[in-house]
This record gives sequence, structure tokens and C-alpha cells, in this order.
Amino acid sequence: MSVIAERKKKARLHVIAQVILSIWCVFVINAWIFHTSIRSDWTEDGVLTITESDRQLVEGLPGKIEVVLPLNMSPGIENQLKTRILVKAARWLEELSHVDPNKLSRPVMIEVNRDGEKWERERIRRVPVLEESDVDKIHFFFDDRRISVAPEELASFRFPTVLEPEGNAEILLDKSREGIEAALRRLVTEDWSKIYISQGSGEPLLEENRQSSMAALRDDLEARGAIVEPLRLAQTDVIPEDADLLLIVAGGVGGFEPLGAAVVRSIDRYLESGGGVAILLPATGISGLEDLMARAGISVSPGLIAEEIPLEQGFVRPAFVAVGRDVNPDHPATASFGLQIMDARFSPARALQVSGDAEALLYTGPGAWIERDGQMARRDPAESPGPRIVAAASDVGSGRLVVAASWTPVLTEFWRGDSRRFLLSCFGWAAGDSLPLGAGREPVSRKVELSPQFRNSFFWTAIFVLPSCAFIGGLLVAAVRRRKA
Amino acid sequence: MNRTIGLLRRELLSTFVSPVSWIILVLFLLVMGANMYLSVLAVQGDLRQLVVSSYGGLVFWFMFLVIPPLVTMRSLAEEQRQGALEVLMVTGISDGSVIIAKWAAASIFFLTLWICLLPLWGALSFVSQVEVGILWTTNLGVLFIGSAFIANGILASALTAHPLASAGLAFTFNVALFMMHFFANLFRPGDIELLWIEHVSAIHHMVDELARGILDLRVLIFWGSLTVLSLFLATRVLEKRRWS
Repeated sequence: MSVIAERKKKARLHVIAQVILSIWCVFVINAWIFHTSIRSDWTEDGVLTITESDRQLVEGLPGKIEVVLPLNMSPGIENQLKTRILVKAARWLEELSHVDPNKLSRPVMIEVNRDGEKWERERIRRVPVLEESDVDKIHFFFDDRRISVAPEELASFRFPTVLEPEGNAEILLDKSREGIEAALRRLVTEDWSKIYISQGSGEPLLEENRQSSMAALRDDLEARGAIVEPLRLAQTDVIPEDADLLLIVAGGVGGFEPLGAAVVRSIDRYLESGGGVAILLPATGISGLEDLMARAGISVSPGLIAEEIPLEQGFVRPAFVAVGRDVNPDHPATASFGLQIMDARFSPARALQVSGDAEALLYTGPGAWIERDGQMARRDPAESPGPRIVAAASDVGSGRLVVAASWTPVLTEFWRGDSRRFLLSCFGWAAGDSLPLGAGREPVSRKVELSPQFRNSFFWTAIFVLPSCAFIGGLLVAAVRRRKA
Repeated sequence: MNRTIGLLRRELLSTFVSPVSWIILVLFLLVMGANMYLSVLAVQGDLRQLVVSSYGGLVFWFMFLVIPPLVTMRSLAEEQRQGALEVLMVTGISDGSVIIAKWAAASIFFLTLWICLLPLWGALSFVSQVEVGILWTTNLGVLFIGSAFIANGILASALTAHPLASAGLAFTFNVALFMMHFFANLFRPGDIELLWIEHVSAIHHMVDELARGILDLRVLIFWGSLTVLSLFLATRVLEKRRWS
């Protein structure tokens, strides 16, 4: 009997030791993994993937940047959409902070309506102090400096208007990732680049806020910390000395007046002295810069690029569109895109050819051809399909030249998608930015059209069909069970 | 091993022929279906937001906290009460096998509930592009976190001979784990305490990581280790019967 009691006593002690040991093991495993994070992004468009340029950006920050996001959470569809985009941006900031928490702190989110005390504390603690009007913005603090980013800088919205009261409120373009990147650069960079955009020769207007203007382009460049100024090349042949980039949009709704010889000479001198020039070509006619481009190794073929564009239900339609698919992964302007397959649309687009030191930046897919008559996009047997160059770059002296095959992507109406990202990256390179912007992927919108028909069918599937199937399954099992019994 | 599989088969059979299981399935689909329909309207058809809303909202967590105790409350407690456990023990099946078979059967049933929701995502894929990667990470999270909650339920069931007490105890365990997240409000970003709270927070793991398509090894290891710990403790509790 005493032997059994002794064994029981030993067993109890063993169990206690085992329990303590197992808890200790679990703690040690978790303590180890706590410091060893292995994360993977399973989203199809890699929207939360930290790229090498993101990593460089965070690691290159000169000190700790703190982020505060006070949210008002007011009702109404406009506020809801803005809140959604701010929260999305905060989510991306949180992901970025994983790179180096000592350089970029995780964002402090405060719901002002629910947690007034916290907001008051945070408001006073910050230098410069946050005001009551600073809610619904992301604030970045660094060395007594502050940059605030409003939702409008992180996305393009469409809201119902007086003319369209029944229109849907929606996020047209989500650029939260780039907006954050640009804000971080603006905060730590003292030297803002200056970009001049050609005006007065038929180009779309820079100031006017219309679909056919370049207002969206201007806003994007300014959000990236650039000072954007118009430059009337027809009236002056002097390129300002402080220009980091001269953007020549050689197109317009009413046609483009080719640049004169004096202007071309000053652009040439500007390039030789280390300036950056980006030329967006006209669909027809000339820009006046063809000789300059040819000397840099970039020439323009006659005709327009055409491709067969897929439509719904498997149909295709030939059109004067060049869809840029493959970027040059070795060029600094496009290296950050890596081997991504792009969908950068240029319409109508000229075909470029490169020679000498010039390099192609963007190619179409193998199905593109050059339509020489320019009247109708229909491929003749003589017009062989193949990849066409839609953008090219070259170093001229100590300057940088970028040529894109079409001017239309800079119109506010078309300023989106991969063509926008691609052009921003090219402009950044030409302006001499060490890390071109615009490489971040725009999230692909995955939305269901909430038509009455869809609502109805989804309602019945969710509430009735599935539970009924389970109910019938249960009845069948019960019947089988009864029969067996 | 063969005995464990045999026992698992028996457990699965008894689970899937039980009317209670089918009632749980019908109610679950009704509630989660309604939740998903309302979420589609609330997020205005944005499918990425829909995943976060359906797998991170109040209804989701209610189901997540309530169903595991309901599924596991009878697994050991009822058998202890009826004396069936003693019969099982004398057949030569080890305590570990019993625990693993019961936990696996309950986990498979729990996962089946969530898999039954996938046809709704299939319906959505006819009208838009559903992100399969995010659904994978989300359901992986359901599997791992759910398995840990079920393991807690098995431990609670081993601790008591009364099914209701077992359900209450399992619910308390799981709610305690769930509530850890709310301590996060006491700390500021950058505090190590906050990082630890997030390391154990089911809400953070589900809403901020898995439902957004981010798979972090820490999440899997934390919930996996917790499952193993709970099952090990349950085995020790069961073993206690032999020497007490």
C-alpha cells in the first residue's frame, strides 16, 4: 500500500513538472518567434507587399517619424469613403513600420468622437500642436516639423453632385500607398524639385480643373513635393536655371504648334548642362524636337501603334491603342517595377525606335502593329505584329531625356492606372530623383455592382438556399439513421 | 495510430449524425448568411472590405466564442458523467489518443461550418473577382484560432463532469483570450507590452493580418503552440484519473 502511495506521490510531482515544463516551452517558442517575423502577402496585386524601394525609403529616414491619425467618424457617404481611405493608409503605414520601428513609428489612431480625452492629450503633446480642424488627416511629425495629408491626396473620389444627385459615391483611384511615400519624402527633404510644364503651344491647360486639363498631373506632382510652374515656350526661349525637369506635352485638343529652332536650341543647352526633359509626343504632326531626339538615339516611326483590345464575352476589337506591358528591368527609371506585367495604355501612340545609348523603357505585347495609314486600325498582311517601343530614355551630356509615345495619359480624364505610375516614375528619374516614385502598386478595385437583381439573388442565397440545404441534409441523415435503427 | 483513427471515425460519425450538429449548422448558416448579406450592403460591394467585415465583425466573434464550447462540452464531460470514459480507458486506448481524436473531430466539424460559407463567396465570384489568396489566409486563421479554442473546450471538458459547466469554463477561457486585445488601449504604439498583446490577440490576428491577406508565421505558431499546450494539459487531466 505504501509503495502505491509513494508512486502516486511521484506521479503527481511528475505531472506538475511536466505542466510547468510545457508552459515554459510554449513561452520560449513564442518569445523566439516574437522577434522573428516571417510575413507573406497573399493579396493578388501585392498591395501590402513591402518592396525594396519601400524598405530603402524607411531605412533611409534620418530619424524617428511619428504618425497621428485623428478620425471624426462622421456619418454620411462622403465621410465614410474618406475614413475608409485614411484607415487603409494607416494600415499601410503600420505595415511599413515593421521595416524599422525606430525610423517610422506605428500610427496612433484616435477616434475623436469616442475618445475625446485621448485626442486632447495627443493634440497638446505634439509639436507643432494639432488644432481642432486637423481631424480626418494623417499627420507626420519629425524634428518639430509636421506634414498633414488629407484624404483627397490619397485618393480620387466621386460624389453625387447637384447635376447627378443619384450618382454613386465611389473611390475612383486609390493612391494611398504613393501618397504616404510622397509625404515621407516631403517631410525629410529640404530640397524640393521644380518642374516646368510647357504651355501656350496648344497643350492642355494646367490650371483649369477639368477632365481635359492637366490638373490631376499637377496635383500629383505637387503632392510628391515638387513645385510645378507653367512655362510658355512660345513666348520665351529661356529654360529657368532652377528647373529640375522640363515636361513638354506636345499635344492638345486643338493641335500642337511645333517648337521653334531657338527653343529647341535652349532645350538642347539645358539638357547638356544636366537638366531633365520629358517629351510626350503628338498623335499626328511633329513636336519640333525630332532632331534633338534623333541625336539622343530616339526616333519616331511613321504611323500609329494599333492592337486588338479584348472586349467582354471573348470578343476583340482592333484600336489605335498601345498597351505597355513589359518594362525594362535594368533601367533606373523602371527598375522598381521589376518584372511586373503592366497595363499602361497610350492612345493614340507613336512607335519609337532606339539606337546608340538610348534605351527602351516600355514595350507593348507581341500583338501590336504599326498602322501606317492612320485611318482605320485593321492589320494588313504586310503589317507584322511584334513588341513596339512606347517609351524610351537617353542620357544627353549630363542631362536625362525621356520620350513617351503619346501625350493623352496626362489628361485628368486618363491620369490613372499603370500609365500614370509609369510616367511618374519616368518624370522622377528625369528630374534626378534617386528613388523614382510611382512604383507602388495601386490597389485593384474589387467591387460588386449592387444592382437590385444582385441584391435579391444574394439575399435569397444567403438567407434561404444555404440554410435550407443544411436543413434538408439534416433531415436525410435523420431518415437514414431511423431506417438503420 | 490506428486506434486513434478508429476513434476519430467514431467521433466524426456520432457528430455528423447528431441532430444537434445539424441544428447548429442551419443556425450558423442563417446567422452568418444574414451577416454577410448585410456586410455586402454596408461595404458597398467592396470585396476586400467584405472579408474584413465578415470575418472580423461582432457576429463573427460571437459565433467564434460560442460554437467551440457548444461543440466540445459533451465530448469528455458527458462520457465522464455516464462512466463511458472508464470503458474507453480499459480498451487500451491511450489518453493522448482519446484527446486527439475528440479534438480532431470537433475541429473538423467546426471547420466544416466555415467551409459551408464558401458557396456564398462562389456566388460573389460570378459577378466580381474574389481574391482567393485572402480567403485562404482567412480560413487558415479560422482553422488555427478555432482549433485553439476547441482545444480549450476539450481541456474544460476534461476538467469537469458536467457539460454545462464545461461549456461555461471553455467560454470563460476563450473570452479571456479574446479580451486580451482590449488591454492594447492601455499602451502606446512602440511599447513592447503592446506588441506582446498583439502577439496573443485573436482580433488583431484576424482583422489586421489574416483577413487582409497577410500571413505571419507568428500567428500560426502562437495558436498552434496554444493548441498543443491545451491538449497536453487535457491529457494530463485525464491521466489524473489513473492515479488519484
